Amino acid sequence: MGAPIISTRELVKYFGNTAALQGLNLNVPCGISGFIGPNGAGKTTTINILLGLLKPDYGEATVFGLDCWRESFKIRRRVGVLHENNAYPGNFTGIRFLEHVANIYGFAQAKKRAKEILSEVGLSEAADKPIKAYSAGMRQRLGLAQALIGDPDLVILDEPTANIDPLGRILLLDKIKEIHSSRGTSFLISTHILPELEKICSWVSIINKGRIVDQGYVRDLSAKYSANIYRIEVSNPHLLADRIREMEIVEEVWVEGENVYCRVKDLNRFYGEIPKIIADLNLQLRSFQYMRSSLEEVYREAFSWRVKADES
Amino acid sequence: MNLKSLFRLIIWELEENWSFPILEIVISAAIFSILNQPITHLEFETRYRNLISNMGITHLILILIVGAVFSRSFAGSLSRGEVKTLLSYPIKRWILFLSKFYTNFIVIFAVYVAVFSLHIPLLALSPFEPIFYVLLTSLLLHLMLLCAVAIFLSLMIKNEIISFLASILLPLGLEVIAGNDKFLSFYGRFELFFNYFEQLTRGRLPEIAFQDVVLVISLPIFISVLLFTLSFIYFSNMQVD
Repeated sequence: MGAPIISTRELVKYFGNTAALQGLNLNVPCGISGFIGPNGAGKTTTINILLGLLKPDYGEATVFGLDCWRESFKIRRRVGVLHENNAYPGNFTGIRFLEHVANIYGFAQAKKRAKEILSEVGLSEAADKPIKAYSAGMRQRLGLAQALIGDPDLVILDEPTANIDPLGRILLLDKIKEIHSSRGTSFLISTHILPELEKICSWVSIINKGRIVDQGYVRDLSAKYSANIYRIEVSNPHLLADRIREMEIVEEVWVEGENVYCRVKDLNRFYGEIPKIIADLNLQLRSFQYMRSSLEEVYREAFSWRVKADES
Repeated sequence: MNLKSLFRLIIWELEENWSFPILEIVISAAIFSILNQPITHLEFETRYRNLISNMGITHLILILIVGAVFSRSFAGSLSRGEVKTLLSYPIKRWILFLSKFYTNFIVIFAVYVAVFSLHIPLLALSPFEPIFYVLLTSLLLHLMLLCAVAIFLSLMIKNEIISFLASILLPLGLEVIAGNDKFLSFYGRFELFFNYFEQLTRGRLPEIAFQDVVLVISLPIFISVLLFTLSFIYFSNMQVD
């Protein structure tokens, strides 16, 4: 991991007697990152602290090396944000709202910039409609437009796919991927919809009860929390399954169609022995695949690890 | 740069909070409260007294307008999340605060000055008569006080309806408690101020002590500045969730 663009150290935030954050140590590198956790885990509080909207009770939070409370103005020049339930002035039209936002970011030709960004998010046809007449999906796209209008280095999206239909979600995430590849903009996406997030993000931070459960590159976490399952496609799967069951390092074996699935305890030993077994049995090996954990599995496993660790 | 940002936010506030029918309602209310008055003084010397004969209603309507406008602008935009959205852009908090205050204060005052100026043709007054501007100054001081109270309550309460009610009931309650006290009640201050300058502009030696006039001017200024400063500090350090 290179230098993180977002970093928090022992961040603590209380609302009355309720602890929203309890020593949060978050690190987010450049790229598209996911920020996941259950409701009330502290995601929105963290985002509000990063933007200088809330002051932490203890600890440090920096974005691009700038202090989030004291230098929030400088941060907000480089960061675009779409809040969960973003509020818009309902009597403004889409184009007028974005023109105002472009003016705030100091664009000389604010209207031109507003038109460009509206077309980029596919809202050109609704530009002259009042925002109060927009559907939920159109509001989210308008929210993405206002987050992108200042050409930021980092965009923070809090539940960007909430209230959007499945097709709209796919289009929104594709747009995020496209913007990242074309402009190099980094994204921090807080969401509950993990399968979709998994398709675009490279880094993930998992939060629960105001603490980081785990964080890292998706591929690393996927390996770390892997269920250690191999899929082996051979000419006679039942014969192979019977033989594998005799191995001490194998926990569980089952057959599905032409495939043998096995959960193993020692990956390296299994990887070394399985070619010999196949050769001994004179079977034809068609494919041999290590089953990587999905982000949902990583999320589930990380939580159960944390629970076990807390109990012990 | 800061001035430019302030100007942009004033335009934003104007379009957001003063769109149809808010401005029209405020103009109608100002016309009703200022022009709906009996003409009791017909002599040339005393006809300016007609301007203050209806100040009780003017005061009441002004409290309602200021309460509604400032509660909507401060508490309403806080509870609706518009302040959060705005503060997520590169906007300095103090500029946002001042833009909200200036816009609403200037619009209300401009409406009242415009309506008040209708007295000039209607009562055949001279636009160069100093007492006319003395009255406007008195109105300005009073408006400042009501605005400071409304902003302070809006920021403390953060709920549009409750802060609207508080912004109305608190000044009215204090007015009732003050009775006809020449310093504490609006009408008492207004009359003292008017009488002093009326006597002065008529070339008579004022019967009212100068210290009393200073107190009548400085009291609303002091309270306004105090509440405004507290609100400003609070807004600059407020936790926006």
